[in-house]
Parts: sequence; structure tokens; C-alpha cells
Amino acid sequence: MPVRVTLAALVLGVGAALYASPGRFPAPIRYLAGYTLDTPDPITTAPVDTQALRRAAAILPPGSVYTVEAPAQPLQLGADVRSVAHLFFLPSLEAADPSQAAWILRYGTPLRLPPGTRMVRTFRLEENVALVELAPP
Amino acid sequence: MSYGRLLLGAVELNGPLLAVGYALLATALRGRRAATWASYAGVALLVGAAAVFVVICSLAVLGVRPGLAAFAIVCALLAAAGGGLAVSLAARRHAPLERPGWAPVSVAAATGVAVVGALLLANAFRSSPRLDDVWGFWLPRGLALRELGLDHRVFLPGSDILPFSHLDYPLWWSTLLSLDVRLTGSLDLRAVSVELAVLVVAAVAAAARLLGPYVRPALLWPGLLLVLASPELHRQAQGGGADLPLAGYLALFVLCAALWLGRGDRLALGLALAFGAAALQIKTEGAPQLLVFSAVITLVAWRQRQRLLGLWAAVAGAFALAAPFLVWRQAHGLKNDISLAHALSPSFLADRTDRAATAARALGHQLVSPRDWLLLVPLAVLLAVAVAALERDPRWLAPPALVGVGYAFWIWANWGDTMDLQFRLQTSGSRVVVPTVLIAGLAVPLLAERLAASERARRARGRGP
Repeated sequence: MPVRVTLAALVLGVGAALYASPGRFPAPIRYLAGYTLDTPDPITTAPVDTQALRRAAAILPPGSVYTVEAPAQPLQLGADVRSVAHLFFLPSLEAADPSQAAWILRYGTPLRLPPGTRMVRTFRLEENVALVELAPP
Repeated sequence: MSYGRLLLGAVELNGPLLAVGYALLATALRGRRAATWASYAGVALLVGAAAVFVVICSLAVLGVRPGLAAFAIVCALLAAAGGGLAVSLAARRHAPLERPGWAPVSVAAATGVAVVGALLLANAFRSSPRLDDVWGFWLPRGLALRELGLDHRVFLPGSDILPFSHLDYPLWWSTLLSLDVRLTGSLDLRAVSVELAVLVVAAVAAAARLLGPYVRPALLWPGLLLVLASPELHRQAQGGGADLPLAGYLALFVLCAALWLGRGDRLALGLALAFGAAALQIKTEGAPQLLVFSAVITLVAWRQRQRLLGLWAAVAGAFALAAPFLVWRQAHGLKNDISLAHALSPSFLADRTDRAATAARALGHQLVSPRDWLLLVPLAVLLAVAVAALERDPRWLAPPALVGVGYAFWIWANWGDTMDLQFRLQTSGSRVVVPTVLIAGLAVPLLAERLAASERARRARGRGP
């Protein structure tokens, strides 16, 4: 019995030490205490200001239809901004045709209003990030 | 947000699932001691999650929004049905389960499993999921289902709203994740990692419970430690994708099918139904994999026609439970991005044999790399060959056959695919082999036990009367 208790205690102790200071352990077992990023936000490939998008989500009335304006390059940035917006803005949805949108998320690019639309007001969320409300057609 | 809120959300989601699972198992467990009930916690959680979200997904297809109210009502009804059935039946008396001896190596390995499981859970609390599929696809679909129902503007192509990608994918993982995140009180993606870690630990606990009566602790716990400590398992547990739940349910389906066919364990047959139903509703590739693994099992157990009928009834039942979504998907013409017509066309395949060779190399590397899965697959193959040779019974080659078929299936899928192969293999190669690896991993303790028993019998025969 003492051997078993000692073994169990030893394994528990190693586990606790591994969690507390993984850097002291060799690489082949260090991964057992590894983690990605301690954040509630998505880990994006291109750097995206997720806090600004969370603020935009709080402003956007539920059920709105929006469009996203992001730089064409780098391609990944636009894709990531759009995906984060899809996540945070639900139940609002992105229009397939920008001219059908009632709101524009402008991210890192100058505002270009879709043809035939008129701006009502702008919520500045961050330097170069804004949520723009459009007048109904 | 605090870790406490994440913990509370995990308890609020998994507590009812555990209760439902126990209610559904109550008929089989009635009359057992409290300690035995406790040992079924992993099985109960997985059964509860399978049952609750299979029902919720079917209701979603019928127009019910899978929100908290639907979750509460479905949990209550399933728990009442399971509990009511158990209460209405006469109590059973069970012979006490044999208590195996715990050698020091068993204690060290079992404590190791507990420690690694605890680390996996603790790490999840500080891990936003690595895969962009989680926040770009799986979770938004679930949130949309909860807020809008199965709104055709986003779940079907051709509307004035941008639809989701992978429209053919089932709803189980998305629905579970949206409730998971809802119960944490805000959109905290670490809740996804926590839930995935809970399911992984539950799957290992379930495997321990199911294998326990047939494998001595000195072989069971080191085998499970190999699975749980695999580096790739930890990476995927922090990935957030649906591949790991799918792999867990498929591997447990195969294990339960083997226990039913080999030992006539009726509870295992019921579990095969539940686990198969969940696998079908997690990802599109769940269905073909369930069928090919069942086909291999059928060939191996061909002489046991009576029990095979039971197994195929369970497979048919799993498909019946998935029918609402499958019918809805078929009715709207939603297809997978891998074309079956291409994959079955000899001329199409003949023109691109280089893809098969490249896929075979990449996927084969994933299966045998010690940096990913600690040699689980080679170990299972070696043990199976040794047991088959000692026992002179080719049926023990079933685990390598399952590995071979799982491997061949994904080579074929990549061969018949039109997407850039390097991209496909880099983004999904490590994930698609997981069911095959876990099937091999769960076979290791069973094969080791059989090898030890065979060797002991051989020595006894050698000593003579």
C-alpha cells in the first residue's frame, strides 16, 4: 500500500509542477501544460481589432442587414474581419448585395457608399474602424 | 470574463446532459452499487449529449429554435422517459463486480490518466480555439440556429443574404456550441475548448468503464494513458473543431460493436446505437465512416449472424434518428464539396493517381508519427498480429483491418477531390485520421490483455499436466 500511495502522490506532484511551471520540464512532456491564447476572442490569422467589432455588435440593432468594407489586400484581413463580424453581429446578417444593406462596417479602408445609398450617421469605433448607418431606400 | 463563469457554464450544460445520460442508462444500471453508477459518468455524459442534441437537431429541422427552452424541455422529457422506464421495471440483483487487484503500475498509470485529464481541462480554460472553422463556421451556424431557426436565407444558397459555408454539414456540434457559449453569459470562445476537453475526458472515462471488465488494470490504464497523453490529441482538443467529437463517438461505436459481438453485452449494443447516431449528426463524413467500419466488423464477425442483425439494427436506428436532417439536406440538394460521381469514376481517378500517392504518404505519416500519436497505430497492429498468430485466429486482425480501411477511405476521398491537394492535406490531414487512430488506441488494451492471457495459457500447456 505505501508504494502505491507514494507513486500516486509522485504522479500528482509532477502534474501539479508541470501545470505551475512547464518551462522547467523537457519539451517532450511540456506540451501537456500547453495552451493557445487566453482570450475570449477568436484567434485570427491577420490581426483584427476584435474589441472594436464587439463594440459595433453592441450598436447594431438585432436583425439588421449589413455589409463589410475591408481592404482588398491582404486578402486574409478582409476574410478574417468578415468572419469575426459574422460571429459577433448575429442575429444581424451580411447582405449578398451591398446595396441591400442598412449598415456598413468600415474596417481599415475609406468609406465607399454603395450606389443609390445615403449615410445617416457614423459610429466611430476605433481609428479607421466605423459602423455606418444608411438611410432606407 | 472570469474562469468561474466558464466553469459555471460548463456545469450548466453538462449537468443536465449527465442527468439525462444516467436516466437513459438507469434501466441497465438499476440495482447496481453507487460506486458502479459513478464509474459510468463518462458513458452517461456522452449518451446524454448524443441523445439531447440528436433530438434537438431533429426539432430544429422541424422549425424549433434550439435555445435554452428547447434544451430544458428535451432534457426533462428524455430524463423522464429513461427514469420512468427504469422505475416501471422490477429491480434486478447483480452479482458484485469482481474487484481487480491494483499493482503499483496500475496505480501510477491511473493517476497519470487523472493528472493528464485534469491538465487537459485546465489548459482549456485558457485556450481560445485554434481553428478558424470554429468561429468562422461551426459557432455562427449554431448562433444563427438559436436566434433565427433554420433560416433558409443563411442555411441555403441563393438568397439576398450571404449563406454559411459547408451547408451540407449536420447541426449537432453547432447546436451544442451555441448553447455552451450562451450558458457562459457572453461570447467567450474559451467555452468551446472547455466543452471539447470535457467530452475528451468523458470519452476516456467511458472507454475505461467499458473495457474495465475485460482488461486488467495493469494493461488498461497504461493503454489509456498512451491515448490521452498523445500530443496530437492535446492540439486537437484546443482546436475546437468537430473532428474530435466525431472521432470519439466513432471509436466508441466500434468498441461497443466489438463488445456486443464478442461478449453479447446488450448495454454495449444500446450504446452503439447512441454513439452511432451522434457520429452521423456531427459531420458529413460520419456516415460513410460508420458504414465502412460496420462493414469491416461484419466481415470479421460473419459467423455470428444473430448478433450481426442486432448491430445492423443499431446502425439502421442511428440513420433513422438522423433522418430528419438527411431528408432536409437531400430535399434542398445540398451536397458535399467532395463529389461522389468523381470519386467513383475510374477515368477521373486514373487521370490523377499522383493525388492518391501524395495523400497516402501524408496520411500515413500522420498515422505512424510518434510525435503525433505516440505510435498507437503501429502498437495496435503489432499486438493484433501477435495475438492472431498465437491464437491462430484471423479475427484478431480486425483492428489492423479497421485502420487499413480508415486509411484507404481518406486516401480515396482526397484522390477523388478537386481541391488543391496540398491545401486539403495541410488543413485537414491531421484531423481526418483521428477516428482511425482512436479505434487503434482503444484496441491496444484489449489486444494486450488477450496477448497476456494467450501467453499464460501457452506456458501452462508447455508445463503439461
